[in-house]
Amino acid sequence: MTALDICQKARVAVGDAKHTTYSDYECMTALQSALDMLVTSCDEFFSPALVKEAELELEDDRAALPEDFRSVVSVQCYTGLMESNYETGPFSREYRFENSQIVSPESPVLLTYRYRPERLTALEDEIDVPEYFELPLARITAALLQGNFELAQTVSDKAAQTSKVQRWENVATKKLWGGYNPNA
Amino acid sequence: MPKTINDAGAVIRMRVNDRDKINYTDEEIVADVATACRYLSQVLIARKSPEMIVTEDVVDYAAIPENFHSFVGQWPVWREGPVFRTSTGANAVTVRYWATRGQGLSSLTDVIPFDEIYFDAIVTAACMLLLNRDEFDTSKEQSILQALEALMPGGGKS
Repeated sequence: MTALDICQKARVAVGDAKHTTYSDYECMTALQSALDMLVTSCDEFFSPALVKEAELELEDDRAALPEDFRSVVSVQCYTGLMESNYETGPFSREYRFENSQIVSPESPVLLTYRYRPERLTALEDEIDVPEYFELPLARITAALLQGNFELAQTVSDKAAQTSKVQRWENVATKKLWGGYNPNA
Repeated sequence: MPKTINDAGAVIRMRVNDRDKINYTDEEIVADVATACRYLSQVLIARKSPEMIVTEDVVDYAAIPENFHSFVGQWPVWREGPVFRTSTGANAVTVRYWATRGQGLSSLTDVIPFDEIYFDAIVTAACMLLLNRDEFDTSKEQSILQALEALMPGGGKS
C-alpha cells in the first residue's frame, strides 16, 4: 500500500475526494502522525505486528543495529536464545546494546526486533506495514485531519489489539463452543 | 468557441433595451462584465468549486500573484504582505491556491474567462449593474441571478 492509497481513503472519509479542503501536505503530515500513533499503540498492547528478523555478523564483538530498529524481541545464536547482560558481560551467549550497536562475543546472531516503518517523504512511498492496517491508518488519518485526537487514539489502540487477535487465530484452532484451544 | 465580452454585450443590450447603443457605452458594458466575472470568481471560490484552483511552484519571497485569493488547505508556505514565505528557502514548494478571474478585462474582444455554463449568470449580473445605474428596479434580475447561482455546480448538495 502506498501513502497515496491511505490519503485517498482518508479524503473520502472526510468528504474531500475533490481535494478542495485539505492539501496533500496536511494529509501526509496526518498520515505520518497516524503511523507513529499506531506504532506506539502496537508497543503498548504488545502486538506481534511490525516485527522483523535480521542476521547480524559481529566484527570485534560489535555490529550496527538495523536502521529501522525500535526495540528488541529476542536475540539468538547457533546454540539458542541469548540473554542480556549489562553489568558484567556480555560473556558467551550474552549480549547488550550500546547506542545503535549490539555487543556480544557470538557471531552471527539472529536479531528479532520491532521495527519503525520508514518516514514518508512522497505520496508514492510504500508503507511497510501489514495490509490489515490499511483501513485503520485511513481512519486515524481522517480523524487527525478533523482534529479529533480522541477518536484517532481509540482507532489506533483497537487496531493494535485486533492485530494481536489475528495472530492468535493463526496459531490456535477454534473450540466447538467458541474461543480457541491454545494447546492444539 | 469561447465567448467574448462582445457576445455578452449583444445579449446585455437586448436585456436592458439598448440595442441602438443610446443609453450605455461599450466601456460601461466591458467594465460591468469584468465586475460580474470577479463577482462570480468569489461566489465559486466560496463554494469551493475545483475549477478555481491553480497550482504553482513557489520559493521564499516569491511575489504573490495578482489573482491569489487563499490557499487550498495548509502548506509549509504562508503569506507575508506582498510575498510568499516558505520554510524550505530556495527549494520550490508546489502549492495549490484559489485564484480569482476577471482582472485586466478591458476590451470587447477579450474572452470571458469562464466556461459557457456561467455565461447567463455573468450577463444577468452585468445587467443588474447597468440597470442600477439608472435606478431601475433590479429585483427581478436579482432573483434570476439567485436561481442561476443555485443551479451552478456546487450550488445545491451535489
